[in-house]
Amino acid sequence: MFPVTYSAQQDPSAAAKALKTKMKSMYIYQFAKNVYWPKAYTTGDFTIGIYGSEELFNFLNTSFKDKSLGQQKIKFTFFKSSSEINDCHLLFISKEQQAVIPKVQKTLNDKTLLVTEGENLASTGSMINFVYVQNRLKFQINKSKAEKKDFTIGQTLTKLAYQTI
Amino acid sequence: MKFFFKGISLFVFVAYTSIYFSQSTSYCPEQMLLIQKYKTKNYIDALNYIDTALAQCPDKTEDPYFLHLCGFINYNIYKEIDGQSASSKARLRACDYFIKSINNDNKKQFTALNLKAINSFSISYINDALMILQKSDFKNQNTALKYYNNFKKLKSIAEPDYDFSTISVDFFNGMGRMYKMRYENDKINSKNFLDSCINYFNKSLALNSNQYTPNYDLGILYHNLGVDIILEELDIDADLEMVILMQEQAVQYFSKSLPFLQTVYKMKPEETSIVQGIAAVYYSLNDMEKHVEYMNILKDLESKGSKDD
Repeated sequence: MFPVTYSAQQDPSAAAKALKTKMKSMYIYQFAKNVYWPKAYTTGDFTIGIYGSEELFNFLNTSFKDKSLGQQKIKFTFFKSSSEINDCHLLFISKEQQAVIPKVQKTLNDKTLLVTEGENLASTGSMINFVYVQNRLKFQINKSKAEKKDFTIGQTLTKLAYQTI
Repeated sequence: MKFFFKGISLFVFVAYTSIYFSQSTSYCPEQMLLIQKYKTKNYIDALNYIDTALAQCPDKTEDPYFLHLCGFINYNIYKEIDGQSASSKARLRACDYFIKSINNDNKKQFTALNLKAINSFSISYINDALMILQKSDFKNQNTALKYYNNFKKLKSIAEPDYDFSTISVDFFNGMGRMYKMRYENDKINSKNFLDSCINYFNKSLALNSNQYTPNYDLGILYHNLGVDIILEELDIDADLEMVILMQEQAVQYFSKSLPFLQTVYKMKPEETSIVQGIAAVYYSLNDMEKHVEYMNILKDLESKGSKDD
């Protein structure tokens, strides 16, 4: 018998985790590309903060390190605790840390687009929320909430969202 | 891989060489000369003389004895001059003559011996096909298929009721594994090998679904395809439509992987690589309940394994 091996990584569970991390990273990068921030926040670096998933931060910080959005260079920050969270353009909070969302939301200013991965938008109160639907990673958009803060959700995101409210 | 029929003496019979006058064809001294060349083992001379004999005695083209004799001339060239080489052209020529002889042998005077010779050739073809697969001789993979088809054609003539399923399973598995190796050597440029690999494993399982190896190979192959399409092929600059499309393909691959892995899990429930694979597929499909279930099974197997050590 010829040897049969798993590809990419020896540990298939590690490969599966890496796969999910990459998918989420790519979505987050696309959110940054397809949401338009109020003019006041379109200068300086474009900051993406990650809370609750160091793997995701590491992937983003490695793969998207030299990326820019228009004139803004993308910078990634990993927050080790919720108290460290400060102003950023896009903040992702992992499912494991969703309990802190209400508290964090109180401290966020109008610059920050909050991305979560909870059961649904209503439970997270965020503007974009990751959900798994029939084994697929999808996203929901709270467009009205985003627009109240003067964010403009691009047509691509609206079209490809699993749900928009 | 099993080598069917190996060890059987392939050529233990010779052509009828007593002077034989077919009632339906005319006297032909060239045929007698041909027999003489055959009997004195001047096979190449005999081969070269066939056309002369036919030019002088054109009715011999349908004479079962003449065709039988021509078959054995080529048979001996294959055996004694070409050393039973797989590339010997005499083998195919011999088969053609024997088949024609059978088709014209209304009185069944030579058919039994012709069929024995055809059966021997069928064995030589399948052995040569399996040898190519055994050696992973990539360059000759298409030749292996040609030999397998020759085997089937000849064996069907020699033994019309022969059951091909066992040997076909071996052949399809060998072909599938070889295409798998070729695909894995160059994944980007060898997508056609992947399709062929999957096709052959499926053909094998269609004949016998209760096999460990092709089920395992397909399970791992589909799992790896799902992983590779995201981790290796999905460009980080891809637009959102592409991200969604490739995720869709990955999910399809993982979904296809699962039944194969579950089949082999039933066969070898203590094989950790299978349990690991199933757990990973469920994780990739975000079925966390099932993922945890299999991770717990894996943990139990590993702790049992360390105790056994």
